Amino acid sequence: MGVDEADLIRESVNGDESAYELLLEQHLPSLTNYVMRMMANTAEADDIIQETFIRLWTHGQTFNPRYAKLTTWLHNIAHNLCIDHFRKHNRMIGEPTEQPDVEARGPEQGYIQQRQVRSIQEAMMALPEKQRSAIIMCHYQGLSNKDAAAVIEISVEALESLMARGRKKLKDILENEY
Amino acid sequence: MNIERFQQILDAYGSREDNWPREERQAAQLLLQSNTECVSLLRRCHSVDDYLDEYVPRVPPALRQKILQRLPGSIIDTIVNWLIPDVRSDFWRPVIAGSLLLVMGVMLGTSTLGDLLDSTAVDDNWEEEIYLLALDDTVNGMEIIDE
Repeated sequence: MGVDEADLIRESVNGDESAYELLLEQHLPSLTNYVMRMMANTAEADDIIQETFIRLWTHGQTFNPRYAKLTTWLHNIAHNLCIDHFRKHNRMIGEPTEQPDVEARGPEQGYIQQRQVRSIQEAMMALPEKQRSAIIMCHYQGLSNKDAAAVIEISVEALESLMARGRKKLKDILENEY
Repeated sequence: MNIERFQQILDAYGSREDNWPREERQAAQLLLQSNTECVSLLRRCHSVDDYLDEYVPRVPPALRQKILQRLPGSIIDTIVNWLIPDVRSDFWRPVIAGSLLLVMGVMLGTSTLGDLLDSTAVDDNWEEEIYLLALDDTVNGMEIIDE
């Protein structure tokens, strides 16, 4: 039988490190993918992921399971940290890092694949942050439209509008490229 | 569900049916089965999803460990971390924390009790008191007036 997430959060808030580690195990992979895609794999992404989970430890008592899922709450923190980062650094981001996995398919195939991934990454980074965040949450993260709208703190209609504009821009960029 | 709404769903959520809004998914699927225009709309929408699927991000190494090491702990933990940053063992941490408390207790004890127990210091105080009494002009609280 699985442990109830609400109990784990309560225990984690009371300083139980093993409960916290279970929450970390459940949510770290998904949050990592979200932040890495938002920040284009930069070194700053590493700090944002760490800070998101430190807040689960230090501010976990502000999370109310009656109003949101933990994943929505964590995505909201990570989303706001990313937006703050872009504001502070005037939308400048560091150099995207290499994609290590694609090399395994042979040098030529690996190079083409790497270039393709790089183009998609650059196209994603060309989108305004909220459009990018909305697409990442609904396409990759499996969040419902209501949860994704709650993360960005907008209505579902506004979310759909963001995603439609974002996807159109992505299509224009990528179809010109290939 | 009509074609206009179906088009809006495709524009926003893409061609993957799993990503469509849960409450409208079934109606959209039914319309897709019965309407050839919807099929061609869906076919045109695939490319963006295919591009997006190719983008798999890198996972930074040792992220879990880094987070656990950065967790703010008690004051004793903080001091132990500051003194010996690499200690993560479940056995050595309490030992070091206990030793730290012991050392602090001994240091505090020797600095305050030491003065009180120092006999030379007590003698010095006593002699000083006699000297001050000898200089006093009062006897049993009454002042002596020189005639």
